[in-house]
Amino acid sequence: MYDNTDEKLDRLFAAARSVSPDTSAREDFFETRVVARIRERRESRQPWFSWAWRLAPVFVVAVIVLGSASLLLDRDGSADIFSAIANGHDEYQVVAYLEGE
Amino acid sequence: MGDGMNEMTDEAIIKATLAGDDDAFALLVARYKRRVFSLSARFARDGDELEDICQEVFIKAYENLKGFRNDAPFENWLTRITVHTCYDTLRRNRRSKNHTPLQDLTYEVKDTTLEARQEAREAHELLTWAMAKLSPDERVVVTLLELEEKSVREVADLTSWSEGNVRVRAHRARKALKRILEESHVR
Repeated sequence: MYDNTDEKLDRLFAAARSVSPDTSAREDFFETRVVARIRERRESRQPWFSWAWRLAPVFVVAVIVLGSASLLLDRDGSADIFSAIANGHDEYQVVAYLEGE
Repeated sequence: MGDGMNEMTDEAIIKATLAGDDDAFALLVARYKRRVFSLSARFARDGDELEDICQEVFIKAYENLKGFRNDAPFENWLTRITVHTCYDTLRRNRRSKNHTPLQDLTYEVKDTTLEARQEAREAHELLTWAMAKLSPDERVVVTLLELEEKSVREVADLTSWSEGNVRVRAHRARKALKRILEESHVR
């Protein structure tokens, strides 16, 4: 049902339609700001491999640390693979002799 | 940007933008900013929010430009993005519960007589205050139908809601506005 409030509302709508916001000050150089923001976003969204090279020094340091650690821990010469095989062979011969084989 | 660029069609500008020409996109922004600003100003709470909405609209347009098909005018497509961005802003504002009914923008009144100008300004302030109390979907529908004078079909197209849905929301919005106005009158 159409009543007084409807009429009042229609009058308000009509009056509000005749009012237009003055946005001209905000519009000045707006396109420059938009394009600047687009460029900024484009630069911040580079693919993963474009920054992966920055991890190279970390890998180099890791290799040096691991290499040094393994050299320091393996100083005992008997621990190398050839002496381990030779020692194992001698032991095998002694055991075989004692068992009379 | 030279005169030659100003005479370019939207289609040619879009093609140039997609080929990486940022100046071409700046021209497209300059061509349609007035339309985006005037529609967004119906929803923004202040000048800063208006700037944010308009920037978001054009950034979305730029990022989705590949998806634009030339079967409809660019302006329609951009208006749809504007409506969706304004709707998202209204929903965000509602969640933040930050109600600031009056805007810091200045308003031009088309009517020249002083009395009519004053009346229109007061009506606009009252309506802005009442509409701030509506839900985001009601506000979008009533703004597009009553202030932008769009048809139900156009509103349905701009919002991606069905025509029936738009009618229901418009009815609900009008009822809510009437109640708000009645209550404000009683006080």
